[in-house]
Amino acid sequence: MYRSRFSRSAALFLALAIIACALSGCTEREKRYEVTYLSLFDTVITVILYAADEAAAQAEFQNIYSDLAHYDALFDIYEAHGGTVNLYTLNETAAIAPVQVEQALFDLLCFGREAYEATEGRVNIAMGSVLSLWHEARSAGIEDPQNAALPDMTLLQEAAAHTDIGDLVLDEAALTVFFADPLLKLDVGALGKGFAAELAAQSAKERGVSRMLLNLGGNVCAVGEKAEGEPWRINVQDPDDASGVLTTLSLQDASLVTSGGYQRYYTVGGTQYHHIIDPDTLMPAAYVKAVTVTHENSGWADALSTALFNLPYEEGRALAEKMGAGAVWERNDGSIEWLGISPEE
Amino acid sequence: MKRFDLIIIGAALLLALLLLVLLERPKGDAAVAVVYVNDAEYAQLPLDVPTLFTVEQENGRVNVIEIRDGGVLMASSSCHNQLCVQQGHLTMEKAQSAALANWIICLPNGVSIELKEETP
Repeated sequence: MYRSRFSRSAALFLALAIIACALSGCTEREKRYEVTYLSLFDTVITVILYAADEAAAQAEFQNIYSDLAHYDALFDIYEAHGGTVNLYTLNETAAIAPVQVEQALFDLLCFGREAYEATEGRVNIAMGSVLSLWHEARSAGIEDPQNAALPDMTLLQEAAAHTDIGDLVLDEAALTVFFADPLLKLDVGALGKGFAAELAAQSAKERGVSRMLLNLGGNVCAVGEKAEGEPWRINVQDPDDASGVLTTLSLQDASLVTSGGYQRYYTVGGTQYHHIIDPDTLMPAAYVKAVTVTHENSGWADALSTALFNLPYEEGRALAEKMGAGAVWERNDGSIEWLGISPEE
Repeated sequence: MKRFDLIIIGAALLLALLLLVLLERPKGDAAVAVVYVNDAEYAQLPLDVPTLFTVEQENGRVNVIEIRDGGVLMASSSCHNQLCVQQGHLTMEKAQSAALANWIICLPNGVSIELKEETP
């Protein structure tokens, strides 16, 4: 009799344990939340993160949005944003006298100089004068395709005389920026998004986010993995087919950036002219069809993808190896080259 | 008395199973295309109902979204680059193949479509 009662209570315990298990399995598991913004960095921003509930996810989305909105304003070369000293302000005033900037902007410019040195000038944030001529021609050409035209080569060459990054004077102690060349202009299009993604991802991590995917218009930054033992899977688009997938790559605590001539371009006389300008020819680079770079730092992934797009394949490969980056090239003949990464099975 | 134990254990297992099924509802087939205009949710279109859905904005921008064959596509767009149209037919299977693969986005017009499981 005693024995039977014991086993009955054991069974009851078992039942309760199973129920508790089933319940906790439900409530403790983090859920996936996703949001898209079309209003920042002139591109598509998607954030995927795992959070305990909707409220926690929304709060984190808010934090990330305000971080990114701040960097977008700070790195904007086209207009002023209230009292913030941004790149537009610098381009307007930094040749007159040194201008004090906030730390994030100063760090970006230091990073730009570092990227210039590491890539031997294939990425140059001081190329604003050249890039603005292309930007004007492209904007006008998209607005009015009938009269689309290339920028004038004489003007491009004149502008190229004012792209010496040595004329960008950064004073670390005073956090000031000065242009020694009055016609120097900054443009951080080659690395600004990656740098912003890196800063935003670091802040999110400090707030306790452990699994997040931050996509700034193709600059994809992965925090942690998707699930335990399961990395994020990212499709790399086929440059020849907007609906096609060239390959799928795994990503964990690293960033992936693609540079290609197939997204931002305009058409002149039936030929497409894209937005990545070779500092040597001052024309859109044509060494490879597209290149995708992975690197643990999002800023470097962004800068290196531009650098590799601006280099013949062999030289780009040597640079990527030196920088510890992974890369996939689609060469002009359609062949695919891999470095340090391999396609998902 | 042993049989009684078995009944209790059996009942407990059944109850746990029932709870699992009720609380952990398995992902159904019901998928929707959620349409956003300028970052705000605009419409939800079930994927099992063939539909032509037009988004006409006050600024004159027009996007036509089509639901067919269990997927969604941007049938036409007034934008200049047509990248959204070129993306073609997006199904749930394609959408789940990788992170970020579940969107069709028209950046110039500010219209985006997300494919996802229907949340009850």
